[in-house]
Amino acid sequence: MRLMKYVGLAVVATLMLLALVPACAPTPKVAEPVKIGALLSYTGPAAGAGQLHEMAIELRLDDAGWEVAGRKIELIKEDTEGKADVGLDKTRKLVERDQVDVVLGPLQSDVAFAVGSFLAPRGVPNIAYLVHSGFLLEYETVFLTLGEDKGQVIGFGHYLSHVLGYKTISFTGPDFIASYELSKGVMMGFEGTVVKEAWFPFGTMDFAPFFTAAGKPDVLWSFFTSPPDALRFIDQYREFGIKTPLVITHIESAEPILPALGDKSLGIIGQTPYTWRIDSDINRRFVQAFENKYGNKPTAFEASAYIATSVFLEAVKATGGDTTPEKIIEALKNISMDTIAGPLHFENRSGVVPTYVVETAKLAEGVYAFEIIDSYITRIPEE
Amino acid sequence: MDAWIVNLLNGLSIGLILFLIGAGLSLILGVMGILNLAHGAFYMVGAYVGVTVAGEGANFWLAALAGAMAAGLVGLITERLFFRHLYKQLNEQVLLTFGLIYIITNLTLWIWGPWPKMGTPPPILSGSIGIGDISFPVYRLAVIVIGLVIAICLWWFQEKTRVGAIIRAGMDDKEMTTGLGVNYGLISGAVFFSGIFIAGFAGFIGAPILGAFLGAGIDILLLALIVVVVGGMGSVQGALVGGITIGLIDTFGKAIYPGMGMFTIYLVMIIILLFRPSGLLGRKVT
Repeated sequence: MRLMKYVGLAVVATLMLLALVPACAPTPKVAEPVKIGALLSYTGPAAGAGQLHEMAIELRLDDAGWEVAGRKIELIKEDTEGKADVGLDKTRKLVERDQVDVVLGPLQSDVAFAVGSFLAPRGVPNIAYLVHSGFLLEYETVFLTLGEDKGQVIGFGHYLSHVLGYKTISFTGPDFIASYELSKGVMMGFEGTVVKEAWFPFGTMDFAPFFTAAGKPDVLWSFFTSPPDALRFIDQYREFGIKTPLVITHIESAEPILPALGDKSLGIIGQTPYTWRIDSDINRRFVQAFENKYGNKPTAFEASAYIATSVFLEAVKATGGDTTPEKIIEALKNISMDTIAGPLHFENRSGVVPTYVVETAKLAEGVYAFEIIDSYITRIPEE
Repeated sequence: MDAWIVNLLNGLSIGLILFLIGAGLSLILGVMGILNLAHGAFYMVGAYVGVTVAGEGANFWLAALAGAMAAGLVGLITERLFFRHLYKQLNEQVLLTFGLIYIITNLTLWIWGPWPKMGTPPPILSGSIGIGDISFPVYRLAVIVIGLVIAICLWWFQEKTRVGAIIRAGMDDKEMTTGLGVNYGLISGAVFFSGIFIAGFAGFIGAPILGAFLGAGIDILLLALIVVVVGGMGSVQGALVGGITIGLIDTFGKAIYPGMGMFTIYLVMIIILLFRPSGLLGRKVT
């Protein structure tokens, strides 16, 4: 009996030792899938954007056959709920539990700061979807795909004073860092004076009190962080018959709200990093593929996530499939590629890419779109 | 001077939309003791359904009825399925109704997609009138009138009808009322439906100014709660006073001190609660 007990213990001990063996053997990194972590806003103030980003990322991965440089791709999606603390928790999970090779997003600047501060010391590459404040670049693994706030709009400010001839300007938008940065960027290109800055608090639903607060400038520049805000503001602006021309930096307020506005949207000049009307082969193919898969035209939201994914895949191709963080970051810094928004490369991890001046036009009954009237390149602002 | 008049009218129009939003919540809370956090979600259902029906060419008032009925029906279903099992269980009600916000918002996202919609005023109420060198939209004036008409109807019902008297009696002393042979269960159900119906109606009436948007579940709820807390629970007058107070203070606050905009209504709420904990016209609820 005693003998059986000892034999049994020996068998168990051997099995346990054998179980440890695979963990000790070095697993070749090449056989493992490339893991992409995507931070998406399914709920929260930008609810709806998450779905759009997901659609675009999955389309890009479909195009690539869900593999790159001989390795399979795995996509892990997490909801930031539009909150910095939740975004940070989800990022921690993506890095520590899922061990992703890159984090895409998030959409909101405040969440991006929390996420960037976590990823940079751990060396994990972080590719943003849209523009953000240049301050985010102090986190050494952040790449601002479509440029930074100030640099996006210097050309637009220049257009307002040199092409449209405006001499005085007022600013409105949510009381938020993106608004301050963008307005400073506009002033770097605009030659004239500022009449008023009329920032409204987040959650404002009735903008009427702010129309008079903006004073009487030649032009009112505006920016919105969510489509419902843009929709309400423009609709109310038109209802009140305000005569001051309104221009919009359309980073997060996109073309799909135009049908809801109808004729009220006509004649508004704006600036956007992407519109489906960009006339290039690569974009035409993208718009066609997007429409075939999802039934509607893509906007700047979807395009930005598509480009961010493309940029990462390009970097992995450049390293020959090596996803060690330092190699990826080096590859990203040296990228030069054609994208649906135009040719893109990074300078100091800030995207240098064309951006477009647009005017809202009516293509047919009930069909509204942006007409491209000019374009310029995003700049790296000199501080 | 013109700016003052415009701000006053703006404040009143927003205030009356807030009254419509808060009235339903206040009645349900006062009569049934149910804290329905999904109130904003029902507002949203009314807005989306109404705007869609109007978009198909229906008459404005028909679309309003459609929106309100849709909200009311969803409310009735949730009442029959869930609320009747949670009488007096406040924690469970809070959890349930909060969960309902997410469910209803996701269903709305599923059916209507992520982009917001704008309502349109009926032709006779569109256009604007000049006040000095500012044009003021006619529809906002119409909202003030519509809100006041509904307030008067609800007040009349509450104070001058037998059913209203029964409801008020039940709010003060439920045991006694049922002891007198009143089928309070039926009345409660009817009040619940009406409260949600009004919320859905408010959603559609507010749509030409505020739009139909997915965030309404939380954003509108916050405003409704402030209106009920400031005005006092359980009465039409309370919701009216609360709504107008908040509407005026919010509008003037933003016009005069835009930087303080996020803070003004909460500051007012705190001050009012310090002096009148049950709200301006609140009844003490057991």
